[in-house]
Amino acid sequence: MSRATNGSTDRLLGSTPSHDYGATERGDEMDATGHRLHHVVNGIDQGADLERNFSFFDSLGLAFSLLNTWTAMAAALPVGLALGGSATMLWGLVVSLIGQVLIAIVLWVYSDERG
Amino acid sequence: MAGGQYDWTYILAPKNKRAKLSFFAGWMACAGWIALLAAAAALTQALLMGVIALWNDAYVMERWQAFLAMMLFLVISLVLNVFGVRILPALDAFGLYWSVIGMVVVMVALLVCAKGEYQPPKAVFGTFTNTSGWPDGFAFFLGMLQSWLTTSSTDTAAHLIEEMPNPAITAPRVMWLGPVTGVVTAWPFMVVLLFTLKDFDAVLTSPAGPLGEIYHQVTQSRLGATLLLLISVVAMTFCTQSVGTIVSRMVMSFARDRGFGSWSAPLAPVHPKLKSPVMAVIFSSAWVVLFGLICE
Repeated sequence: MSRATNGSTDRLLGSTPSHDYGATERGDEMDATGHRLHHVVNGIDQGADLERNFSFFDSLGLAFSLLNTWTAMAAALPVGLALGGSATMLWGLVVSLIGQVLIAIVLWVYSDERG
Repeated sequence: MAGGQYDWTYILAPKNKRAKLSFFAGWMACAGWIALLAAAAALTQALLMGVIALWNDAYVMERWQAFLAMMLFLVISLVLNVFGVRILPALDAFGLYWSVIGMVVVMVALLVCAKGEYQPPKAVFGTFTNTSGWPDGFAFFLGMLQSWLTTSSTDTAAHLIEEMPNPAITAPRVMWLGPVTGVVTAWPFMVVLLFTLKDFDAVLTSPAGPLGEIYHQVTQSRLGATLLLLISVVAMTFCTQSVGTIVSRMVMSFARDRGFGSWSAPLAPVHPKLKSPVMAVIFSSAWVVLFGLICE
């Protein structure tokens, strides 16, 4: 564990982040339509590019399905009723929503500032 | 840049600390998402077991049965995420329709079957109970854990940006609209649920689970309660698949940046034909099998 930690942080420090994945590098392999089949960055084979198939509504659908707030909240009723009761369950949702939207806003402001 | 938390940490932290902090954030996020996959599979299994408990009062769930049911939903998630990447967008859009329409159906059914017998508004909106032994303020925040968990989708969009045609516009919108749509639907649902339920104590202890017990109390019909509960089972199957999608992108991205030491190289690649980070999907599912073996 500790060896892996040191090795990885050193590499993280020394290497360029793998995110600039636009450039084609040595070791890349293309298929007939020009899509990358293999893409090597920092010595790691990242394989093919993921396909961009998630439209706005599909992504929102994934986020909503992932949360399924109504089922998850209802399934946690015993916990919620023991810890604070129905008032906590209902108003806690509102407080949580405010917090989550604040997080989103902070991330937006930061990413706007840092480009 | 599908890393989310650890990418943000790397960008925002001071230069001399950012590699270490980012590495720590990456491990925390991966561990959290894998645990969430286990939680999603376990919750789906619990709902399904609730259906069985509705029909058989003497039924006592064996641990291996619970484990197998949990594995069933995990395998559905695994197969869809390995072989079905191209149908996932349509499937998740359908998941949204299913969940919202299903929730409206449940609400209408509960209101109709309640026939005007409601809990007093005070019991729904103003009752604060605390049986935890902690001070009231602390209990409020403990009780908020669940609502916080079920609104935490800020990073979901971040892990998906390599699959969006226009991530700079789409991702921020999904980030704030995810929790908003979740709460806007869940809040009225919880209000209806709390207004129509008849017996608080039975809800806490019923083997059918809280949802199954409330549906049964209100509809007075096993079949009705089963149908309503199956809506949630299907919705949670979509949930397990979605979590499986996101956790694999998280693991894949962290492996690309060598976050897993010598395990990084095998976990990183996206399969050239399936267009899915197959090994990352299998890796996260394997952990869930392990959690299932330990817990169930």
